[in-house]
Amino acid sequence: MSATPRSARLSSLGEVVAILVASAAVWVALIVIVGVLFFAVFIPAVTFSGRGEIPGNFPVYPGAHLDSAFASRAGGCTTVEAGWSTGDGAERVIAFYQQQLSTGAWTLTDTRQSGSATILDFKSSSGDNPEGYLAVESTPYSSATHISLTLAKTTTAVSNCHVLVGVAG
Amino acid sequence: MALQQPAAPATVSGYGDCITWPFRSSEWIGRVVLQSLIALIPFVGSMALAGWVLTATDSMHAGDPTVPPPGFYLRRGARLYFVAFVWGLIASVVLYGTMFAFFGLFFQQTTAPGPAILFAFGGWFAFILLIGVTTHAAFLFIVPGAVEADERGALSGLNPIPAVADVFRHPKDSLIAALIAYLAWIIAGLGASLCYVGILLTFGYGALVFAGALYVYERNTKVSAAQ
Repeated sequence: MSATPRSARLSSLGEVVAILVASAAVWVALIVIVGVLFFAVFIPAVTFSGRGEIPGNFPVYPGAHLDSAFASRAGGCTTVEAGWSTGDGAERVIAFYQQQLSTGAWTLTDTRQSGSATILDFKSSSGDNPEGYLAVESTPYSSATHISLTLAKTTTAVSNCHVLVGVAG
Repeated sequence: MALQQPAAPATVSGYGDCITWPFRSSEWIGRVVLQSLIALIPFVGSMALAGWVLTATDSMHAGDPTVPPPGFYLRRGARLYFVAFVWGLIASVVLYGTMFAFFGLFFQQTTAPGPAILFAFGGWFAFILLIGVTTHAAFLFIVPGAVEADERGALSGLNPIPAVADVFRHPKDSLIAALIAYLAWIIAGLGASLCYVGILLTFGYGALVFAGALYVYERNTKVSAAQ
């Protein structure tokens, strides 16, 4: 192999500029791509990872925006924790859920007050026997209302899942 | 007693000299610190550092192993910088792409304590182990790759086959050069432990150790290295 003499191993000024500009452009493009992937794919994938575990027939307040949905499995039970927000007042949201959770397969078992939040306990007679509670609370210093769902459902035939103060067992 | 005049720099005879050769230059500290400062400039600094390293190897091939004065050796370092940038980019995309994919898959699934999560964490640790083994094995190809990139030019230097062939043709030299390059990498990063100020010394010194490995490897494996 004929080696390039050392004295000839110099790039032209044009090559130097082209390489510098290209590498800077690639670097900027890479940072943009990583940023987009992080905020548009990764963060939503983490924040809404439990969206698919919310029962399909669970009533969602019209116009409410899903803020997060997480799910975890333990001992044959799946626990789902989800949060929505809406611009409507808490009274309207509570009335909606009191009506919706008393129809069809859903049964409203209790309504109680816990601090500034109204807790609606419910259960369902549908296939995986979900039960849990909704916490409806006005967001401080705004007219929005936050809706938190904690729900446990059975994933195996032998287990019977309950929510006890926010813990599935 | 009169001070003795510093002796003329001796040649770099083997891989062991890669660590000590910079100390033979009387102004090495100032030159290393200034070149490390230049290297902190985005893009231009890395290219200048590559050129400085190759200029150091040129001086060693010419029989005058002295630390080159600091400067913007852009035309000398452009081809090595380009090849290192492209391969670094490919490695980063593969590495971080796999990491993103792993995290994405992990969080798409419902988190489940028990065998599934153990499997996921086992997979993660296996992935980290694989990265560790791969990056350490990659050091075998860094010195031969840099020599080939410098010799063949920017675009031809992207072809990894000559460097891989060099590793198989000269396994002993490649292994020792890899160990020196690994040492240079550790030295270069050591200064970061001193509130990052230390890299002004260790970054440039690590580059000079790497330059020594480049010189000895090229001298031992290439017939026409001194041209």
